[in-house]
Amino acid sequence: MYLKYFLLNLFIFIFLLKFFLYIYKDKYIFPFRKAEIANFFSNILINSFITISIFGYELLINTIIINCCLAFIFYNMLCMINTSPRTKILLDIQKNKGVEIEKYLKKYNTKKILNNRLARLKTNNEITDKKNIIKINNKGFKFLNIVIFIFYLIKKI
Amino acid sequence: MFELTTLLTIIFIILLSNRIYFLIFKEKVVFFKYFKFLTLCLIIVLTTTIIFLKLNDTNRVNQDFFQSSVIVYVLLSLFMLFNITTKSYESPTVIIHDTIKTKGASRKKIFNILKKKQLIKIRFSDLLKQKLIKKKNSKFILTPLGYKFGYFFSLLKSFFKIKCKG
Repeated sequence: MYLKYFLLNLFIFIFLLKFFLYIYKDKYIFPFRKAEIANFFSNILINSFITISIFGYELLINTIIINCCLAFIFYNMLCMINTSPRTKILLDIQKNKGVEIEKYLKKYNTKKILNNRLARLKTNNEITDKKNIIKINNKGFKFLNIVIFIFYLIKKI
Repeated sequence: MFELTTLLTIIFIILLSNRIYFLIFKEKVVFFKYFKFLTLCLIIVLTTTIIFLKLNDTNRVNQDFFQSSVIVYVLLSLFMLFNITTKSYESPTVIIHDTIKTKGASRKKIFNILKKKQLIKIRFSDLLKQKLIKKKNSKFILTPLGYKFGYFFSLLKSFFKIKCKG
């Protein structure tokens, strides 16, 4: 029974993620997309309610853990497509049926990576660019510091 | 209490298998190899649990709880699988963050630091090591495993309409 429910949970997760991505497009609360945040909380709420209704409180923790894992897995997969250089190289090789590295470096290089990253960091005012000096913007609550700290901890596992 | 103990046991087993992997293979992570190792651990743990339950009173264990625990185990393994990618190479964003976190830096300085890291060439070497691409004459092409990954990511990319910027 729980396996069937999990498939429903997965379907709800993917469907809602698609829906929120359609609504929020590429808007960020760096480093997460607004769509991913909305999807995470919606799924926790909906699936907790369904779990309590069908299975009682006994399986609630497992459902919450499952939805946290799904959020992390999908966040990583979408990030891999959107920001990972390795995935970009892989998809470019697939698209062009092979690449020569010297020619490829003219199209995709350090400058392009730097520009992409700085543009992404600027979307939520995580950095400032004054008089050609790029600094961390310490004004207000910054999600990035918490995320970098969490990633630091995860890396230590 | 039983649910919480089971969950903590699952987390402990996954962390332990992760440690064992790094003890056995003292090298940088090969994604597919790690995936196969985690699958092997899952099969061992699942078989042991089923044998244990068969030998004891199986009726005491709720089937829904058993199924949910297996799903938690699989998803936490996938969690670790995606997590280890952060171990292998430094993300350019983290390098930028580390460069500018104290006094800030000019675009040129950040560019030079990133250039020294040879971001693209290192990733080509990694993809070769992961057996996702191979060199044919002067060109890099996908291996059969690379095609599978490429197909999967293309599918996700078109379904969620995500741009691949790198």
